[in-house]
Amino acid sequence: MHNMNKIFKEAILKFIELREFGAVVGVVFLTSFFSFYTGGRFLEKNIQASILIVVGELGIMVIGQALLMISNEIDLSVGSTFGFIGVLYVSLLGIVGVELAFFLAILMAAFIGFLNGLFVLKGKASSLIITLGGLFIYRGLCYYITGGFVKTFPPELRGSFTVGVLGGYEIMGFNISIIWFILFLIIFSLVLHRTKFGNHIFAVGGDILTAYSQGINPIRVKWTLFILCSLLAGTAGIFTVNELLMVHTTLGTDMELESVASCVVGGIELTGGVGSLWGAAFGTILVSSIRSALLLMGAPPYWYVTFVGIVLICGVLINSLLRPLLLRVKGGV
Amino acid sequence: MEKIVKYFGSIQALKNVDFYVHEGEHVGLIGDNGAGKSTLIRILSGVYKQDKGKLYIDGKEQKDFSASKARELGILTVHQGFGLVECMSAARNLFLGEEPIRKIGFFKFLDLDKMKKTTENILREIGISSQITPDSLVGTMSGGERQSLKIARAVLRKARLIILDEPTVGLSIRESDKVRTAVKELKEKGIATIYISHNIDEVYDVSDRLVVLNAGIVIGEFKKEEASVEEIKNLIRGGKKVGR
Repeated sequence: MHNMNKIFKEAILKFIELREFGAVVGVVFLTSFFSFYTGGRFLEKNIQASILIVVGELGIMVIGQALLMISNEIDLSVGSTFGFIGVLYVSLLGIVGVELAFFLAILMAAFIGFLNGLFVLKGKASSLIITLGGLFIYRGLCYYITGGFVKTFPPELRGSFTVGVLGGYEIMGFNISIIWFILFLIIFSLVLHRTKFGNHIFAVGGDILTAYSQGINPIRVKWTLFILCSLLAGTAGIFTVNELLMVHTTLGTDMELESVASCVVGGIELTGGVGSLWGAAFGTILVSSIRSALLLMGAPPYWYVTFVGIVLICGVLINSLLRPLLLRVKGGV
Repeated sequence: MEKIVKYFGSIQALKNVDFYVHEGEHVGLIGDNGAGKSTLIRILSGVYKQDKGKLYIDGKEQKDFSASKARELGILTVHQGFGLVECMSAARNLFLGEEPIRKIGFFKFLDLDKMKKTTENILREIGISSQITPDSLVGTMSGGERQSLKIARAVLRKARLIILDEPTVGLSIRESDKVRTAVKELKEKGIATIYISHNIDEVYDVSDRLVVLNAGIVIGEFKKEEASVEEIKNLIRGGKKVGR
């Protein structure tokens, strides 16, 4: 019995020590709260399915943002890249086939990441400012291409297999994007924690001078991540368009802030060097749940951003104040 | 190093400096601020290129010398201010940039088992295994433990010459002792060192031979038994060339 108690205490201590602690506590607390408040309707399959669509699409973007933030950079243009690539993809569908449109749109996403990397790393400018510029530029291009109108998917392509696989299909009532998200999450978590490149991401984010002194090329690491971040944002945009079968000018608006909020709530620090994709994934679930839960509770849509702000602050405070306090009480740190 | 000259703009930082280190020898490099110590070791570690003079390693002249070439030839530097990533574990820091790889099919993963086992052995060797595990974050380690870990990393990378640039600045006496012990152990391993410090007592303690620089000129060079600490201090104060 004494042994069991010790094991249980150690497990609790290990859990509190995790950087994902705040996000996991947040998910459990908000799920319980929303379930109680809606009389259990929050846990119904159709509500969970609608949350998971957002989790899948935002989550894919968050993976790129999280990797970049661990390397001590940030990309505020991901929301506009998400929208612009979606708009570009639908526009190309009128000219070329689905596969080629996907390929060209993804190529453009990679080019956006390449430009972000070029201006930040070679221009020695702040990623915050450069990507803020990108946010306005790509949103402006969305308006230019769509003329401010909704663009719909060509009817003859709606049943296409490729469209289905890339965001259109549902599997057991759940949109396929959540499966892509889980797949990307596993792959990139392995890359981050189990490969040389992942080790270099932490090193570059934690102490760039030390990383350089050990023969690591910080520019190559960061540039790769800028490209990856835009690629994932663009991919998420295409998945969303394939699910909605239309695109509008405001697609992806505010998603850059949601992606940063998901990362921060999930334990990733803006100063770089620490964090995990699993934490960011929990942060994504938290941010995505709020939107659906508020709609279900009949709250006006504008409460959503307010709630995300509250959750962001609470998540950070749990990680920076409550976690160390609990660790001290438990005799950890 | 033979007749090394280095300019920064119109300022001549090194004036025909001759400097050598034998296999396994511990050399102390001392001198006041602006004496040229840092410039000299940066040339030796491939960070700077000399304007005149020749650099030989194992009797071979090095014409296209660079930081990566220096590392390749076993010349590694332990800096005081940086060299470890605080938010990473001891094991990950120890192998940073030269991580062991395990292949699974087409994929290459970090060999974490090897990293942990090797780190465990190294922590035991440098005498800090009771407080630190391979998973301990460097941020939780003391200054002396960090310096010892950096020295251990240089040994792990098969260093033949370790340049220690002010390794005990800001450390307590007990922590400095730990670092000095780690440096002395390098002698048993046959690894040469260049120890740079403002603390002459400390340099004297760990060195076989001492080289005194002043305003870019070697003003003194002694075997340890040829001069006392006080004589060396007087030499630095006077700035006149003596000895060989």
